[in-house]
Amino acid sequence: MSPWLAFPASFALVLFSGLVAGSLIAWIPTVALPAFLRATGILYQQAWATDLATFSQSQAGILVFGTAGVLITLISLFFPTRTVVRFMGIGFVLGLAAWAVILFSFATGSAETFQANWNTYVPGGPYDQVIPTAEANGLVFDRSFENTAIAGLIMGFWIFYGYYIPTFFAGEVKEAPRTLLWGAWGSLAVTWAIFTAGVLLFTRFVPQDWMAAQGYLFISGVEGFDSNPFVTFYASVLQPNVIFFIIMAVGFIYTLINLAQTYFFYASRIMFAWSFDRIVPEWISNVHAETGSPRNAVLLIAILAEIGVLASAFYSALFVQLNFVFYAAITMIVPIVAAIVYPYRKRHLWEQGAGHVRSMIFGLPSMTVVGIGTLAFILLLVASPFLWPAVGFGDQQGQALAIFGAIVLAGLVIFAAARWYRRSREGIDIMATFQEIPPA
Amino acid sequence: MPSLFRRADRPGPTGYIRLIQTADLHGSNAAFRKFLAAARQHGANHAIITGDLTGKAIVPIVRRNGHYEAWLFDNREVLETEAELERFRARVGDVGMYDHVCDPEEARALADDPARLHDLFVEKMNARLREWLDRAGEVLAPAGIPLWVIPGNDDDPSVDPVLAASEYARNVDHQVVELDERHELVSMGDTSMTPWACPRDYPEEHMERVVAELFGRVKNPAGAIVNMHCPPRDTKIDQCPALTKDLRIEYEAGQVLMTSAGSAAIRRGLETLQPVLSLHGHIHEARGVHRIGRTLCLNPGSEYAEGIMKASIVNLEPTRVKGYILISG
Repeated sequence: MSPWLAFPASFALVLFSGLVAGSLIAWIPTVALPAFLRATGILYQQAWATDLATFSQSQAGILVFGTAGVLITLISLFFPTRTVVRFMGIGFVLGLAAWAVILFSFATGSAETFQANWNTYVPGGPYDQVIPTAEANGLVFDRSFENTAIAGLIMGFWIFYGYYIPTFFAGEVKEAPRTLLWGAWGSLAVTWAIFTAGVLLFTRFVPQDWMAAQGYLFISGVEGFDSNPFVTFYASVLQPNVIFFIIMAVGFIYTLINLAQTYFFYASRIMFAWSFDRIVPEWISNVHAETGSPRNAVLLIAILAEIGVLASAFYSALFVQLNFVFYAAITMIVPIVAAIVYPYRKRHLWEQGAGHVRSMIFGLPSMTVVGIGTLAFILLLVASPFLWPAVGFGDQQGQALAIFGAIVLAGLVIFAAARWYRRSREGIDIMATFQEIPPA
Repeated sequence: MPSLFRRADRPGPTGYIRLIQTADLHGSNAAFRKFLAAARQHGANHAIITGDLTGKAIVPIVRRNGHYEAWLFDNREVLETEAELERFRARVGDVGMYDHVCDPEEARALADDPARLHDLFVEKMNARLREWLDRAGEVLAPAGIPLWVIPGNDDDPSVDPVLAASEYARNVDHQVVELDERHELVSMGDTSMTPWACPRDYPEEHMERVVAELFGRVKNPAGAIVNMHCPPRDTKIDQCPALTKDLRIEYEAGQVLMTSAGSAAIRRGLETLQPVLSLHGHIHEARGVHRIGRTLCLNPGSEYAEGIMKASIVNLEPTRVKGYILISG
């Protein structure tokens, strides 16, 4: 593939990754923290908690708590990789603990408890009025298998992306050829088990239509009707216990920071690689002498994340994330196509690869087969905001496309400018990095 | 083939020279031949190989019942025809190993006799090096690109006479030579001790003494180019996995624990001499750039086992690095 394609794609990915890291951090003040505070405030009749929840969800609150989250993430990434991994290991335990509480709440709950508690805690959005209000505001239920499956695949992007991210820093992963695969499959299995258990337990006494209506009301922002379509809140309603609230709040807030850390992590490494290839200045690839952390690159990602927090405050965190699915999917087309054609375009290199790289499926290189399947999924994601505006840009398709076009254009301009600068001032052509050299 | 450099930037009497440098080829035919091609393609004025020329393993190809069998990278290869055999031998050479076609009895005898195996290894190693040096003359001489070579810590002492016998390449190990009136090349293939006790591993005292002696011979430090297989210590270009006493990679929190494997003596020498450029190799995974004061230190890294050539290209003014890039192909 061409550097003219690869750089704008990776530029767009890094830019949007930084932004979406900010929007993920913004989930803390918009969802995780208010869910905890509101449940605590209602259960223990603490007005300050409900007031703080309201502030947390306001623009000022998102900015204050979001900026704090960005700073925490930034500082954590100044530590050596092994320390960051320890942070993540703690998050894994806390996250599992939070899910254990949720599953316990679902397992021990009943329809009567849920409805009664819901009406107590969410007086502005009575249980029985959820579906009628959503329908009155335009919700049309579509229960066809096709659309449900496709909608699931769209949301499945986040699961796919979660297991794709480590490939960006495979060099820093222990025994990458083996552990990347085991890690991906293992965590997929754990995630599947948790989600499936949650769905099976919760839908015993809460209909899917009701949950869909909650989600619709939240996304549509129907005024005068409160909605809280979050599993942590459902669990809090079922088991109003402050210890459980704290476990869930800490687990979710901590793992949201962990999630942002992974974005900071890979995006800063990509930036590091640009500097290595002399596309951007050398100081971006400076690493701290003791920790090995590329602090300058991490700092640049933090700035992008702060912009993501701002976007979440003034638009919505969900809007930023749904847009990211579209943008990230487009940028992924380049490496996926590269993987599909690699065994054919760089056959000699492919043949000299390790055994698993050269494996075959149905007589075709496995990386080509897997690449084709992934490409089909990615193309669905690219098309989905246009086919189902509700899961993407809504009525702002033109604006979203213009933003993406501008970013890609900026990537092209940066690459061209860097090439011009290196050639005219240093006498080198950055394209040399990517040139194939036939043996003499 | 697209030109890497603008014609206006071609070196002239008041311009700059262009160096291309690689290291740790470890017997890879593909990487070596790509390096020769790159020297021409990028219009280098000098080509430098900073040590570790020779490979590390022999792949026995065992003749059995009318076909051949071999193991490469944990994969069993069965070669039915002579054409397949030749392709496989080329592949073995491209990834830096030496093939040896033999019958099962000879394979067993070699496995049981380390001295005989070593002799065979030396023979194969030096034969390939001779081929390389001849090929270098054929490719680089017409373009007028001198080839400066040093052995690295992995290179058996037996390569020295082979290098000395070369009609084209020049072994500059432990020497200070003038590339032109402004630039001296200060070279050494010795390295600090490694866990494997390689032929040219030395204690730091030795390194200190040799570095001081070599650097003391430099007439113009501002234009000097250091060419030492071992990188300076505590830099981005000397980071490698830490090993346990039984030579297993150390992990902490699931991460490979990295450590410095460069030479403190070389670092101190560079801090004092402050040459314009310092070229290194040795640590394959530590491809990169590091600055020690005004000195730009480069390690092009190595992926010889994949047949990939890695090199650095440097445009060098009399006392300043005009530009550089790390290439891979």
